[in-house]
Amino acid sequence: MRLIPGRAGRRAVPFLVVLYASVVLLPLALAAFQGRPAGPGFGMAFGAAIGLIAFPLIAVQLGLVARLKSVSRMLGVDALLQFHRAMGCAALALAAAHALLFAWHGTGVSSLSPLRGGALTRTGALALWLLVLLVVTSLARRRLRLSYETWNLLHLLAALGIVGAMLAHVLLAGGAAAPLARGVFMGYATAAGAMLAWHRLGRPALMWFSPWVVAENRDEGADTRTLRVCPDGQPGIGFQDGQFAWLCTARQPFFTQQHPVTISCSASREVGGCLEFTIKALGDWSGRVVPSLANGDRIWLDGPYGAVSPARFDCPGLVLIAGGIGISPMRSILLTMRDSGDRRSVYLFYAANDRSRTVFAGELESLTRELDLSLVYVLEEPAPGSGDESGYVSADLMRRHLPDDFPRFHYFVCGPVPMMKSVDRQLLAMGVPESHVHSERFDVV
Amino acid sequence: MRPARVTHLAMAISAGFVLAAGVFAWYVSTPPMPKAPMTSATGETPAALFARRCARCHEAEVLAAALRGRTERDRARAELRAFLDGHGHATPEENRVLADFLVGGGAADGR
Repeated sequence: MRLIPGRAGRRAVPFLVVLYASVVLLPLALAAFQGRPAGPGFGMAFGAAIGLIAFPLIAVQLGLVARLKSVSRMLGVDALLQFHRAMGCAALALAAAHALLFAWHGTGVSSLSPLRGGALTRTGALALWLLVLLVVTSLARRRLRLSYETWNLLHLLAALGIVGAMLAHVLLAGGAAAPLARGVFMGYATAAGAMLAWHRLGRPALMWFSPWVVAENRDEGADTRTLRVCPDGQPGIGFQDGQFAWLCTARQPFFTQQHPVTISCSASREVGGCLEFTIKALGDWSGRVVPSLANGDRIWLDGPYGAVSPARFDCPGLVLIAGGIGISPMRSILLTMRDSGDRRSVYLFYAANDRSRTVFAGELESLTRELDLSLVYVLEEPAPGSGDESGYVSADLMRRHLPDDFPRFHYFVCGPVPMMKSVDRQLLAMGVPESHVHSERFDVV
Repeated sequence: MRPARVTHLAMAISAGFVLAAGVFAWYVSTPPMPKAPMTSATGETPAALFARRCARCHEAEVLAAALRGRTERDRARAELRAFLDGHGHATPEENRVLADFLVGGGAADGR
């Protein structure tokens, strides 16, 4: 699955970075303006400063994953999730440094235990250990064999506990004795709570009131199914090719797992129509739940998310590079090009083990007659005499098929992460500008 | 945004936060620069007070040089203050400021 960060998004990055840093550093700036407290050594002052940064940093973390459409449209959901993950690790490092510096300079090692000492050290230690739990279970979810649902619930409860314990710790520490500082810290905690409430209650409530029903559950072969879902008494949504939505197939959308799935049908259609999602059996949900969905089953949908359509890029052509189920957004792009009359050159490199592991073969074949489409199968085990390419999508292979002005094309890559990394490197090595390569990954946890 | 870019951006921002914490810690742990003591009554600097009360007959640098060799600063300050109190040209508060000014080296460095 992927979506495409737009040019406007790239321009907004510096502004968003400054805004983010300002929000995180505000308590530290306020503390600096309050004046110099008498006599702290550098170590204690550094520890206090790090703590003043860690609190808002953790509070803002909730905003990064609250699916704020305005932000995700500019940066891309995968970038936000990746940034959330990286800054979570940074927050843990800062919080641990804060605790260790205070322990080293006076409070002692016992202050690292949430079961010993006064309320101040207990709340701080509780927040720290919950943060350790949250980060470790996120980085090593698969190794710890935690199901997504268990991890998700753990993540939610730990986040709530951390914000609550941190707020109590800061207020007890006296750093927020001034009304302004107290207000700022309460504001951070309130904003974090509001984000969480919106994400976990408000958004699911909207989904609850806008149900969809399964109209068709089609077997595409190669362990892949296409779900056709239609609005159930509600106006539906408009979308652009390459966008995705979060699907929930539980009885209700509250506190249940939602799955990011690319919309695979044409975007050039009436708003409010049915949507198609193509899903490969890769896990419990996609392998057991999706095949069991029957016509008339009610599902919940949050979306669309993603940036812009390839139609917005002023270029002589497009190159689509799909691996496995990565064909899903490419199908949407090709169908949209057909329905909107876009006749630019388009090259599709479709990588798979062998032809039996590919889907939409007939549809893609017919699209080669309706579009200026060159279709190249890149198979690990091509049938002898089939004319398919053998091996992996490489720079040499692409050069053989692409025209000389290939650096002017825009490239859309979707597939397994190792393939995406490899293709990414090779495109840059071929001289394709970085701004012409678009991809997105969702396997953050 | 490309994955490598996101990681680099996160690392740069984190480094910026640590740097900000360091600057803050340096700021709060460094004592403020001592200011020239002010007389409580008039708000004059010690140099101005000396100019008004003493300069007609004495040169600050000469007096400061004479006192520079004294190693027992507190004792020198107390003796000078007692002398000035007996001299009768200034108030006790002004005499305290003048004694600090002359013994503490303020007269020598021009403050």
